[in-house]
Amino acid sequence: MGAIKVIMPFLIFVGFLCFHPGAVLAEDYVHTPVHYYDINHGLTIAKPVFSISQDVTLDTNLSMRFTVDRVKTEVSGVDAISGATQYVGASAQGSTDTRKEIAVSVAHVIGEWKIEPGYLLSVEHDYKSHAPSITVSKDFFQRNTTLTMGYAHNFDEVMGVYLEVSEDKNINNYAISLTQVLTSETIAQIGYTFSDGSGYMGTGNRKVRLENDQEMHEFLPEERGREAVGFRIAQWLPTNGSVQFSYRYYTDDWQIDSNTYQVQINQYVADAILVRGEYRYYDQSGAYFVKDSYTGAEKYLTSATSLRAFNADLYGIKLIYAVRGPMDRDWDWDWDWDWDLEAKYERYTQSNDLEANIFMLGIRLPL
Amino acid sequence: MRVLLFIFLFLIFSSGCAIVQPYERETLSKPIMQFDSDKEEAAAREHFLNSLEGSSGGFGVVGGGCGCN
Repeated sequence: MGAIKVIMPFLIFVGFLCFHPGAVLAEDYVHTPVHYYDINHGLTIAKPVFSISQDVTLDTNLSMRFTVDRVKTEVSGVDAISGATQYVGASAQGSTDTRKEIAVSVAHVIGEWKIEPGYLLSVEHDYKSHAPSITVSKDFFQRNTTLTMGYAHNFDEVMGVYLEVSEDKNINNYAISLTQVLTSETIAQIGYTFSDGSGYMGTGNRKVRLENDQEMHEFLPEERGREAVGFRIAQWLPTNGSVQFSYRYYTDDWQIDSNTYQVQINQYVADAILVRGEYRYYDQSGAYFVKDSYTGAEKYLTSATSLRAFNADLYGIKLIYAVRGPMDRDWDWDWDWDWDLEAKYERYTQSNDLEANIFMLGIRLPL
Repeated sequence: MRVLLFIFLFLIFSSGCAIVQPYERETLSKPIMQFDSDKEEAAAREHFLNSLEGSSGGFGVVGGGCGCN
């Protein structure tokens, strides 16, 4: 009921926006990437995505994204009761699980303002999340500066296998960013996000093995405040390419601090072929209650590897081939080829004994 | 405090920039000069990394939760 009370005003608001005059919006397209994650410890995820972005009036754009995560794990329910160093996958059930997600947003331009309400629903057998959101942008100084503010609220329901009844989790998410054109070939952005969550913070799918070999439910604090600040810059290269750098600092009241550094180089190697190379380095400290072993007397216990101290590297390469030109002239249709073929490979490694190979194939069609 | 200092430095940094006219922004309008120009890729990566790492955020409003972390 709580979610509906928030969603209805959004729908009314969207309806109002759709009849308000304004300016032209972004490109229209259909995008269908398929991701495949091959993670060690017997976890694979197939992730097909269907996304469409379409102007519905001169100043209103509708975007919809459908995602399915088909998670397959060889970890059984018993094996998922992990020691502190053992990785536990997306499900403690073993076998397969499916997560379905739909995200809808409507962007509307009114002069130098852009307002974009959205809604996201994510459903899996042991978790459900509703997340209405709103983002507002305003251009300044002949559109050299853009200020963006956003808010989203998560209404989450956790239904893990070790829970007797489902548990609620609510999160307020706030975001603000400033994008600045620095020169005709350089643009920079600074961003800040803050979230405060309350409720059941675990998954209900993990247990913790104690020093005496007994098992206990995972217990986590029921409050979490998180904040992050990021800076990124994009520079055009005279070689018909670009380079982007970004840095993010994150901290939360579970005493996890992290640094993320990322560099991305884009280069056209032919008129129709774009190559992107990427490297990301990440390090984080562990949550204050994380220990190598527990006696069972502790207030908080966890076996989540994501809450431990570690560092991670990600390397990636992506190719985009732009298919352009007239179609077979024997056909009656007066169409031209105009679409992009994409392929990507990424390698992700954590010092926590976790490795992943990530593959992606996709097609993007302008509408 | 760190955040305010960061914003202050950014504003000082950016205030010295000359206004770039719309007709000078052809380069800036190219997809490879835009942050997160591929929204679907950005969302998939954010979801993947958020499930494996203890941090999130920095840019944009955080998306929906999941039972994957």
